[in-house]
Amino acid sequence: MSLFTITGLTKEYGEGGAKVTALNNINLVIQQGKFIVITGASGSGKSTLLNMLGCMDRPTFGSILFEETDITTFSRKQMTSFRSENIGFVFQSYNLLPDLNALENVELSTELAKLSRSEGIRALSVVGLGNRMYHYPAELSGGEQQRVSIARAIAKNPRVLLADEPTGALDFNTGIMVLEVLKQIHLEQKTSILLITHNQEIAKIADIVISLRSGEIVGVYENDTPLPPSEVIW
Amino acid sequence: MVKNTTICLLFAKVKSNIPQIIGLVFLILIGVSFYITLFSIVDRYEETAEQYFNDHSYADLTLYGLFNKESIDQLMELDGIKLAQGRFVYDYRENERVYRAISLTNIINTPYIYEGRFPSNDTEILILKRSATAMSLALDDTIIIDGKQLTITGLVASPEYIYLVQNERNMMASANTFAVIYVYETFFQSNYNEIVILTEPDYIEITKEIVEFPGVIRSISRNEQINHDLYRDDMGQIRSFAVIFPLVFAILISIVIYVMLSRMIQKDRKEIGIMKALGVSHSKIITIYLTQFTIAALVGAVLGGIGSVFLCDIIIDILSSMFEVPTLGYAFYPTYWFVAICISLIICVTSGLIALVSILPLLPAIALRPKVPKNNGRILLERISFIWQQLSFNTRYSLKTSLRNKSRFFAIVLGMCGSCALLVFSLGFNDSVFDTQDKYFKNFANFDVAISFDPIARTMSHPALDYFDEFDKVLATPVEMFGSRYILFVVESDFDMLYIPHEALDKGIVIPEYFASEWQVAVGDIVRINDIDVVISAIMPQYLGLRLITGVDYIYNYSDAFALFYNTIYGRSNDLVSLSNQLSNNKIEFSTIDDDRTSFDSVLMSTSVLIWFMIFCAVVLGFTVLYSVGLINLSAREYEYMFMGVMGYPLSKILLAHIKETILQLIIAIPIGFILSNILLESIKYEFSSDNFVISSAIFPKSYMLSTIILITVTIFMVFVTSQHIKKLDIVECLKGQDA
Repeated sequence: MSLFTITGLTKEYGEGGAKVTALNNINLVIQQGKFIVITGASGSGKSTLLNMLGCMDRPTFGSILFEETDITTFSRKQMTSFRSENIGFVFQSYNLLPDLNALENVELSTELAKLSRSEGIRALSVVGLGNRMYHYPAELSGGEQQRVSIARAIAKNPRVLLADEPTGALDFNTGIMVLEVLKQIHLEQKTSILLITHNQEIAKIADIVISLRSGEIVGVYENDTPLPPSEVIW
Repeated sequence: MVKNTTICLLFAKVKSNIPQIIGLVFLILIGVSFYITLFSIVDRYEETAEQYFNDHSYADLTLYGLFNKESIDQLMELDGIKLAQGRFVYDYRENERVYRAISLTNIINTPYIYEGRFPSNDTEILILKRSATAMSLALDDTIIIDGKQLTITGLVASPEYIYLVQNERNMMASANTFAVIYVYETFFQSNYNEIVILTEPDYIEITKEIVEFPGVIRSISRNEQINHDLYRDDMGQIRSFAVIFPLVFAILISIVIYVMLSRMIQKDRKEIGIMKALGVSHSKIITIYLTQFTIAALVGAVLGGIGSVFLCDIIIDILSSMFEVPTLGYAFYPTYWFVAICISLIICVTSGLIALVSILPLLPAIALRPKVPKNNGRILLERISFIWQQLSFNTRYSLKTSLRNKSRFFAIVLGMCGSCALLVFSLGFNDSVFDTQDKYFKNFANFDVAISFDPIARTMSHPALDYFDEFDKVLATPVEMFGSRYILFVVESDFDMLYIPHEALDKGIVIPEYFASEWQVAVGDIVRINDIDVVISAIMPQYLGLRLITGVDYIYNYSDAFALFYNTIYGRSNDLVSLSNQLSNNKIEFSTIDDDRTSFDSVLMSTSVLIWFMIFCAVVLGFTVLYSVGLINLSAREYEYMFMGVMGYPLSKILLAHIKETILQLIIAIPIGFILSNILLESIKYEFSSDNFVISSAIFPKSYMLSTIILITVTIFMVFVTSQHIKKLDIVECLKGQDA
């Protein structure tokens, strides 16, 4: 069953001579329950595509159907509501609120989904931080902070998890640990995951790999034998 | 090349910090405007008034009594007398109006002509312009006084009527009912009843020779004249006001600027780290930052100076309703501009330097990393888990972000406190003035009519006494104490026209609390009146028309002159209308308690001009501070808010958290503001008091309520601005910025 159906998606920034086309006529169907990695060099349009799928930005042309609903026609309020109900985000910079401890950062998400506090505790346990939930971001390592941000993303049981270079700011070992957490969530909770990265090696853990170049899809590759993160080396 | 880079960086910084710099410029502009305006006006008023007095030869001394031309010639022979001129001054009551006719003197107390010309005969007159305007009289109109038809040939102002003083009780008469007119001497049929004198510079005080000069009943110097006294009181009040408000402004603005610049520099910590890593010297980094603050300070100060030009004109217009100095207008005072610019520069540069000092010593690698947030950030309430767990996530978030960022939080609380304190103080000042009036008429004055006349023996009856149901005879006489002149009332022991401690009348003198405080005396102390020592028998609360009061029987032991005469009658009547008619028909000049009330209302009206200006200042200051600090808060929080938006946290919930934080700040700020306002009012009440008028500090509940409403309104406006700003946040751009 298709999760996202993208048709003629184009995103342009600027006007006149300064116009930049970040995405150019993208057509794509993303199936539910898959672990998808979108790769491409810097400036290829990965983050722009993720922003469109996450309802954080509107395209210049084209449409995105989330299941049967065109999310490109949403008002700002509907966009916010859509993000809150369906999307979990993980960013390269962890974006934790410094004044809240780990559990409270996760609660930001569960509160929106009207879930109990125990869901937050559960999510932190899933990412292996059950014993660090009252620590503040300043008291956690980079990997731990990224795991808190993953816990925050999954705590509300989103339909899809969007991860933008989640290992970009981490060392190799910590990066692998984070990928393992994502993979574990995908396998155990059947959450659809879209991960963008410029690291071709990480693509090896995906079910489907989409390659972008200069705002256009240059390849869609189905990986029949995705590797476990522990076997990936970069 | 390096210079070009520095300039490029400087422009880039200015561009990226434009909202904060605008806030900074605005804060300085407001502070400088008020500072220059108030100090310029004080100086300008004083200079212009003194020049006006000199140009129109405001009399140094005025003698009251009965005089002929020969006695004036004799007076001129006394040491220190430069010029003496006799004149006639008589009041004429025509229906509801009182016209004070003064014979024209060609050198002393000459009127300033706005329009028209001097009279050419005794059927023509000059009239004070403000009275003419209030009475709808114009040039060539006629009025009838004492049965004579007089034509107005000129509209004037007079140095001795800067304030429309009718008499000592009616210090600010209504221009609708009181007018001063100037006529030829031939209009009058009797002897001069006043002599106005210009003295040599060393002889401005009243000498014994003058006091004992034949025909003199009373003599007063320029400084003792009510008009001049009010002028000096107002000068003092405006000067106090000119110090207090800019000082409070300066303190608040300095703190806000410090917080603002600290935040700006902290926000640029990474960029400073990059510059250091690239080898940019400390001096260049300091130059980049301090130059923008210097430019902001200069622009703000100069704009503030320009603003003061307009503000001065507005305030001069407002003040013109209080007093009339025809030549009062704007003047440029470079000293104040210079001082304002210097203070602005010092505040900005010092604040910037302090903030830079916290980052510059860091190693580049450390500066490149974000500032490590505080550990162990549990707030007090969080430790009380049974309460903490009951709170919603939104409330807990709001409380934690507020109380873990104390400097930011308390900068806003401080802004709210300052605004609240100034608002309550301004409204409370208004309340105090009304309370003062209320206390006088409800708790002190107990008479219907007062009549003043030349002293006569207590054994003699005055024609007016026949018309009263009840009356008391009083001698109101100027006396010298502690180097100044005050009015002493000598009354009978059963005197009940004023509520005073009667039991103390025969034991000494009763003095107002204000004088006791000024002279540092208490009950039982001996004080010297003229050349006699008397004991203070009581100290009473008294707020208007301050008087020393003693009993005839007591003062008779020391001076029979005080005890043998009276010159004032206080009386009551069951039929005030009939009494007024009878006194008018018998050409006895009098003033009623309603006249006094009208006069005090005029005095209060003049004060209310200042009060409304204060309220305006408080609102402007409050708005400016809240806007600027709100901007800092918003700038520090915008990424947080934006990211909450990314997470799907709706704007309404973000705003709810923001509103909860604001409510917490208001809950802290408002009571502190109330306390501060009381302290401020109590500490300045004597600054705004004079020998005629003492403020009773009182703040009515409605003022607290109104201040709270105004503060909340301004705060709601700021919340609205914040919500608009959050709505406009571009999620994608913010994420890009963060990733970069």
